Amino acid sequence: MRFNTSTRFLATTLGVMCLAAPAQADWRAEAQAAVDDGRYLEALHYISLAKANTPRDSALTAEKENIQAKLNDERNRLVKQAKSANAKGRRKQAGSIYRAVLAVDPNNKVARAALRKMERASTLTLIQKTNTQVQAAARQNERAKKTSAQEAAPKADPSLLQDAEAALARGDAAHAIAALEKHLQIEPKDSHVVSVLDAAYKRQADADLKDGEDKRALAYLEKRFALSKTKAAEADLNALRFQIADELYAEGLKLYDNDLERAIAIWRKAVETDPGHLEARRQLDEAIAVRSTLQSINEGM
Amino acid sequence: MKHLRTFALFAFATALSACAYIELPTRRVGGDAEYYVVTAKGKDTAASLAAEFLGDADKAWIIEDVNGIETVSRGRKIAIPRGAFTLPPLEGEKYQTVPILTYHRFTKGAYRDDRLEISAKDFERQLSYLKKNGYRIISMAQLRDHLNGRAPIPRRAVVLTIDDGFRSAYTVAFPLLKKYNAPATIYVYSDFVGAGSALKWDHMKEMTASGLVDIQPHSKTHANFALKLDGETDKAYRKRIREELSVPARLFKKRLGVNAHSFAYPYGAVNAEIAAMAEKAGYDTAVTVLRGANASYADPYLLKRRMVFGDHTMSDFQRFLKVEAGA
Repeated sequence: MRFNTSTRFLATTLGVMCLAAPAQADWRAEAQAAVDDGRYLEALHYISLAKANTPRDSALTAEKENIQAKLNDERNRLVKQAKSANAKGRRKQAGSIYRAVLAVDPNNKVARAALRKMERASTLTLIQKTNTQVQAAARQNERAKKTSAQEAAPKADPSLLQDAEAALARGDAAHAIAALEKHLQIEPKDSHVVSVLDAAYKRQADADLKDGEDKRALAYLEKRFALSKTKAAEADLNALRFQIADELYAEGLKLYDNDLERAIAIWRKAVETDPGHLEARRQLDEAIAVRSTLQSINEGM
Repeated sequence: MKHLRTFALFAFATALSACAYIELPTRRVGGDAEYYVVTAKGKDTAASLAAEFLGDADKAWIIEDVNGIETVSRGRKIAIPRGAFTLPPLEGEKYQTVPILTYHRFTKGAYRDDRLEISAKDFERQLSYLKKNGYRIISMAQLRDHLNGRAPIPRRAVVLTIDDGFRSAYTVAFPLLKKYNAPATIYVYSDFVGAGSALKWDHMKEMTASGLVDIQPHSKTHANFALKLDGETDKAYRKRIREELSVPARLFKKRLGVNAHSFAYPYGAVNAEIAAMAEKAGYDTAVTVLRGANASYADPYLLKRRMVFGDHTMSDFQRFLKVEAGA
């Protein structure tokens, strides 16, 4: 058979067109291959696409139902196996089978719940271990920072704030104060740091008072008031000043009859601590007057 | 006559060619109740088809993943789901996992020997890598729906989170998030807002309004929830934790109009009781700092994350993008 030039041109044109045409997805064939391989979820996906492509093909509807039935059987078999493994205490095996269930039925509630429970237990254990390590590392870090702070000039580092808050949360106000004061040297107007440092000074003062370290407590409250100038800080400071002055006043009273000089020194200290302690001031004035009278008597003798 | 036959054959071939390759003014749409089926035209992309059929170009991943393709080629039949859909499973025994990446601070300059701070250059390199390599950045809300079995997510889904609420999230990261159209969740502890190096309310309002950034609570004071204060009773401790969970949620609702749905435990410190309290406080998800990616069955209140530090290399970063697990 002979072909003229025109026919050969036509054949060539059609041939080139066929070669240049994009590869078409053969969803039906993909579905069949997946079924043959036992990958039923994938098969179901592709048969659904094939069905959408040729909606009037009733054979595809039947095929889809058939695949869905196989998938259900496979899922039920796996769930049963996983439950059995779990009941026998073979958690790892059960977990592996439950994951296989999700591979055929991604939203299977039984498998999801079982795996989530397992995941939760293992995650909590890991977090517990990590928390312990993190806390140990944070303590070590703080020690290192304290040492290096003495050797090097402080650097602006917002993580100081995080460290300070962590220290404060675990009740270590002294560490928090050190970190926050360093932070404030860099950013003196950081209002958040001011408020956290205010709380740290207060907490440290309370701890010192509890330990009988009244002077240290007073020093922290004075720093606190100088920092924040709040009414609460002023009230706490005045209350402690009065308390210390009052204790000194009582101590002076005990000494007054036998050791006038010491009583005067102590009441002077009380008045210096709290100039508003009127009793101490009155006693001081009286004691000085008595001393003066005694001196006159002695000189006259 | 001979010439006439040749001309007729040529005209027939041209007509055939036109059927296959010349774009018709209107698209023929086939399909059934579950899927549309269309033949891709020359200018079609997954994004253009997603915009046309799904109403959102950002849903291009649905077209790619449903059809198992990376690009739409002309003449290929494309299935597009009409509503709810499932994706074909991963090959073998593998299952999908979602990495949640975590950042803290950013700098416009170079890396300054501070692990928590990442340079703008490195952050952009990472965002660019994600985009060029087919990763899809999803929101925490999308991840939540996936964990609840309500919606599939892209095959190569990644979540971005930024902790604490440092101002550089706005000054350095936000412009890059906009450039790459990358959604991110910023976990902020509310006492920090407005401080020297922290975000201000105006910054957060602007970022929220962009639709890209979701501001979510990271506690009130950034206290370690696993530690009780000295002399604190159990009752006082629980009260304090409840406040740490609820105060920022109320504040963000009032100041930003956002609903709190996700919580970041300060220092990642959590236990079963704290996780239960987060759930009771109304959160749908909560994130830890435990390393790892999250399978579909991950506990929504104990989600794992991967910290990205300033001294990490690109190969470290690529290693963190673990989007599948199993055999």
